[in-house]
Amino acid sequence: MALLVDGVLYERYQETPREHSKIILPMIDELLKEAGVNRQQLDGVAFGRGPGSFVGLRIGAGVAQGIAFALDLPVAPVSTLAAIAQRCYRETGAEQVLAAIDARMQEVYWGMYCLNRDKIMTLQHEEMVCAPEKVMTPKTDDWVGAGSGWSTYAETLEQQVSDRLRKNNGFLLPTAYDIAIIGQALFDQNLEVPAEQAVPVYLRDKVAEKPKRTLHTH
Amino acid sequence: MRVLGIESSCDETGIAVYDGDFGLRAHCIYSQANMHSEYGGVVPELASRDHVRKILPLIQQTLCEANIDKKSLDGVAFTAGPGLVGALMVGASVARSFAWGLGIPALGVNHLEGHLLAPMLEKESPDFPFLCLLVSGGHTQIVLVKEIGRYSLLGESIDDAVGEAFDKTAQLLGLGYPGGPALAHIAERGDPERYRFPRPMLNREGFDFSFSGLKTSVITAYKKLPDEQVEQEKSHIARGFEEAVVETLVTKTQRALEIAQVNRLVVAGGVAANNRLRAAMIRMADESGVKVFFPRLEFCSDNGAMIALAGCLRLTAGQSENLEIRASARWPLMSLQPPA
Amino acid sequence: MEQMLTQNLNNSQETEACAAELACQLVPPCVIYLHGELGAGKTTFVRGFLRALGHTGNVKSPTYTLLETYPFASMNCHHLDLYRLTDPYELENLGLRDLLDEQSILLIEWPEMAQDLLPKANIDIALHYTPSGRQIVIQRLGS
Repeated sequence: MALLVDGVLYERYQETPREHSKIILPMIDELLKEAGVNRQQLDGVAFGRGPGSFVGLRIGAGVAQGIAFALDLPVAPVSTLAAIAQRCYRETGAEQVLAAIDARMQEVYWGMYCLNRDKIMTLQHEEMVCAPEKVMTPKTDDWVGAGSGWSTYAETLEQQVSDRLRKNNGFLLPTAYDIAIIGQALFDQNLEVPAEQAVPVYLRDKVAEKPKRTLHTH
Repeated sequence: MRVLGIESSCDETGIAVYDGDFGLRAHCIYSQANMHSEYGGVVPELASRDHVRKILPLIQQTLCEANIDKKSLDGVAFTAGPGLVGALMVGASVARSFAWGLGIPALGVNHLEGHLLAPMLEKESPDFPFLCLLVSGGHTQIVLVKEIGRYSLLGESIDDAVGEAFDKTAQLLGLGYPGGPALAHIAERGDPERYRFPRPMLNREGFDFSFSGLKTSVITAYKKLPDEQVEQEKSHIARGFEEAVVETLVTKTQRALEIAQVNRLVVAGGVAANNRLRAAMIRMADESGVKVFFPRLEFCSDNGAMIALAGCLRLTAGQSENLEIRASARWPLMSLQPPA
Repeated sequence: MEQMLTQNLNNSQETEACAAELACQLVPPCVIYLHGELGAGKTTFVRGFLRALGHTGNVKSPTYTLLETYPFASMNCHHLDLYRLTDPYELENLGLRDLLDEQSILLIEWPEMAQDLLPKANIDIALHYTPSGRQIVIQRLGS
């Protein structure tokens, strides 16, 4: 949970699997109180739109929708892969990041990010989900790997990216701070969406997709 | 008190505004049945994904139809269980955050309580106490409703819900999904005597149901048929199945009315739309001096109006909750309490 | 460390007892495949399994919702029935990815419908009809 007030950050962070639905609204309340801001003074809502845990994404999207609709606010859907890349830049200065999230089922969510002139990580090509040995690799040098995919499939990914990789930064979670930073940039570029379009992006395995067919009728 | 109701426990998104003084102001339902039909059942993940896309547009539409500004709402009620937990969490997240944004209270409502109180959405509604037969795709229950929050579960299905048995049988007969209404339709042409399927648990004491065995009998009968007879026998099998279900439900309900000594009966849930069940219930009620109530069809199946109503009654009585977003796949009716 | 156990089951109580014994030995994460014809006792097995973990309510075949989740204090049990899967690629729509966390045990009926797209099983169970009742074959496939 993060609140950006004219560039000043207020942040709350708690890693609580299965519990975040319980604490999310009380945390927002606390944070606003600490910042001395009331809810009517908010100008926008940014949320992590995925990829990631389906259930978690929907809670985040639902909360963003509810707040934005109640307060007539625009929404900035922010990629969780972009948030990882942004955090990696913020913490290590890396300007080219290969963000990977463990997607389970022997796959990763994958995105290649470069820093733009406004110091915001922006996507190159497209985000995808695929086996770690099939990720799209960069054609230039000096990339840093970050995200849970880089700890679960360290060996495979390092081998895959091979000498294009400067460093495997390993496990890194997206934070609300970075979501707020990227969200702010989206608002500045008028890339916000109305509350009802605050929906998750799940990413599908396009390689595995086959034309529809019927195996049996019952 | 003016309450927005949000229902998202299964494959229907239901939104409504209920006003404590003026009754139901507007309600909208969006059904996902088409999306799930190709799977022959509800796919929980797909249901959740659709709710998160549909809830807010539907809220906007409902407020628009009611000609109400969101700022004039006094509370938000949402289904907090029982149901598909992922689907419930979508409704709970939107509902609680929306209420937080408006600075009004939100309350998680029990889906089954919603069904039990749904007859109160009608002009002519039963006084307490009454007996409710709840028959749907997810539930088969006989409940004594003493007052809001005081319920006695007299009996329920120990396996498949009756609507589920309808749908599964319809699927067997090649009528698609959800095929309950289609099954009832072809049963009209069927001979009620041709197949006599077992009346499950009819000879046992108590008011519990079991429809799994009936389904197996239907499968057995169907599989015995030579290919060339399948088409012509379908309607007879459908009719035989329907007869068995209706007789079981009516007989158990009649016994429950006698034991509970009440003379008001509500038949609710999606299966209450079945004409043969309605006719048989009316006949039984007439003979036993019982007044029977059927909520409108749109309030029989899952809907937001019943959630808005139940929430309004409880919020008006001063019930409140903290800001936790929660929902539960299982939430027994018997654990409910009357509002403070 | 592959291990195989074969046992005859004379009635549903014995099926449930066999399942209960297995349930008490397992820790999540764990994926269990359940093979067997309709009526071979797969749901009975799952019932015994869940009861042993402390579930008190009904257990029925999840053919209607394809997936039934049973939450326990320290884990979740997901009971899947893939019989109605018409295309293995529909697994994506089942949200299988989301179920495979560290706290989950998956019980999967009709795993063959998903061809090779499922996560690998830790335990593979087959139930067969025999002249005198049923037989269960339990294979442990590594950790």
